[in-house]
Amino acid sequence: MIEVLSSGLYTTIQDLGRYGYRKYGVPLSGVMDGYSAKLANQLLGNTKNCAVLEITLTGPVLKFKKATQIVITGAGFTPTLNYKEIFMNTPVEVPSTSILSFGLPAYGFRGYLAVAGGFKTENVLGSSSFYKGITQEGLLQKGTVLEINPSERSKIKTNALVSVKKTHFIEKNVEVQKGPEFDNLTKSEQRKLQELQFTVTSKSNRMAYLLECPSILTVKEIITAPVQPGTVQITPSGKIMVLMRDAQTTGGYARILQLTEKSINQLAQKRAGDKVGFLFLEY
Amino acid sequence: MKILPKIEKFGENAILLMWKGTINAACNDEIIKIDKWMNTMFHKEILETVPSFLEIAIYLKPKVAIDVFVKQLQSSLQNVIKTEGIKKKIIYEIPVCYDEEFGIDLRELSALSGFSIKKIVQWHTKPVYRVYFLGFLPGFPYLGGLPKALCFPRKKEPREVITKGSVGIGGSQTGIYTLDSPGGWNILGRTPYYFFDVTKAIPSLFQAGDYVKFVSITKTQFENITSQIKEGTYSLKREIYND
Repeated sequence: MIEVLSSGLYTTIQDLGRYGYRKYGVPLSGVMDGYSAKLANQLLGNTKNCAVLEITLTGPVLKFKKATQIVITGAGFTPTLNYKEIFMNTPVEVPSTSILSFGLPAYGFRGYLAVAGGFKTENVLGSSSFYKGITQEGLLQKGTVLEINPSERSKIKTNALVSVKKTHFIEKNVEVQKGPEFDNLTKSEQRKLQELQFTVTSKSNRMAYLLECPSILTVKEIITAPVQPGTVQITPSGKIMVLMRDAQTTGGYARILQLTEKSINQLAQKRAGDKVGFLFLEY
Repeated sequence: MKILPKIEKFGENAILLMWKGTINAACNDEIIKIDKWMNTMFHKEILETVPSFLEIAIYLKPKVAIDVFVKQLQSSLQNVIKTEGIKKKIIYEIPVCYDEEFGIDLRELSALSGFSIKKIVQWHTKPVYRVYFLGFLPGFPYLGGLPKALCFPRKKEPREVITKGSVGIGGSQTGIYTLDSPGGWNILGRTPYYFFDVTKAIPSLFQAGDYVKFVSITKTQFENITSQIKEGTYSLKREIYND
């Protein structure tokens, strides 16, 4: 059991998402950066859909009431266990009554904490991923005591550090494919999308990343149609909106581009002020 | 309306079936028919689908080869568009209290349009609306069939919270806020009923192709129904047609 001493900026429980209910308007949800979250579970020998804690910029402070093993991945935090710095990207033994905190990330925006066996929280419509209105909680609350699933696997005995691809966190360009309304843009607007760089605004969250565009793009709205994580839309005020994991299932803005899964994971590590460019892939 | 949809890729692992034209019930019938058929025919390849006014999104399972799937779909679509869809129709009667306590925009709309509140309510309760599909919020029905007189622009500044159960109009659409949510629609009233229940295997009451009629109730009835729902003694009125 783990007690939440302080909650951090935006901490949630997530697994790989709530599949099968999008036709009823239920967002997919799930970890923003699937690359880092899967790595955390993998290093612990957990199954890949085990629920992890997603940490945003400032992490929570957690008190472990029982000994366990953890892995922290994602953004470059300087985590400490009982005030002594611990490594990321490798299994760490956590004795009972330990206190874990995260510090601030030197790079990236989101971190993942996996525990041996995975977090055991309310499972709603086949997923533990927090989404207010579907799950009771939308955010991890101070004072909450988190349960852990009993772990069937044997302890991982390794001190090996996994080398994590740094480009995942610092790569400016995200890979995109053309969206259904790409051809509704003028040729010069299409060129701008390939050449310009866009700035991540502070209005970016688990639903969408809002990017500032140095040149206003205008494209007609559409009859409400399906959208998914990674769909790039143009808002009426000319901003670029990249839908993320908690996005609605349908939307009415033109869908000009679609990010690859790898690129959604990379964008999830960007913070306000970071620059992003689009790298076009062919179908 | 037996036209083959255009098939387009929608990222690495998804496909869109796209029909041309404007929002219409015949196309929605076709979309519902093809959506059902695909989910049976290709259940090994399809993770899930999302129908909408003029499109269906097909989200594929991770290891499905998208180009192979598109070819298979293309050849079998030819045959299925010739078949007839299911004709069973369900009409739900949704109780709505149009009291100004809940219908927080009634007075403003009335002043703006010159129509009396009574007239607005009469118009809103007259049609049988079609559920085209669900989206925006869990269980939120996109309803078609709003009378032209009630087509007002959305509010300039969206509200931060619209209470669950609120019934509103926006542009040419009307709908029910199935959860507390921000929103820019004009609110006419509130229903005591709920439309999304995560404890059910199919959590949404409405399915694409269903019909909805709003029935005006008093505040006393609203309170009675609310307590009946709590006790589990209330059942929504519905009619089923097979034509």
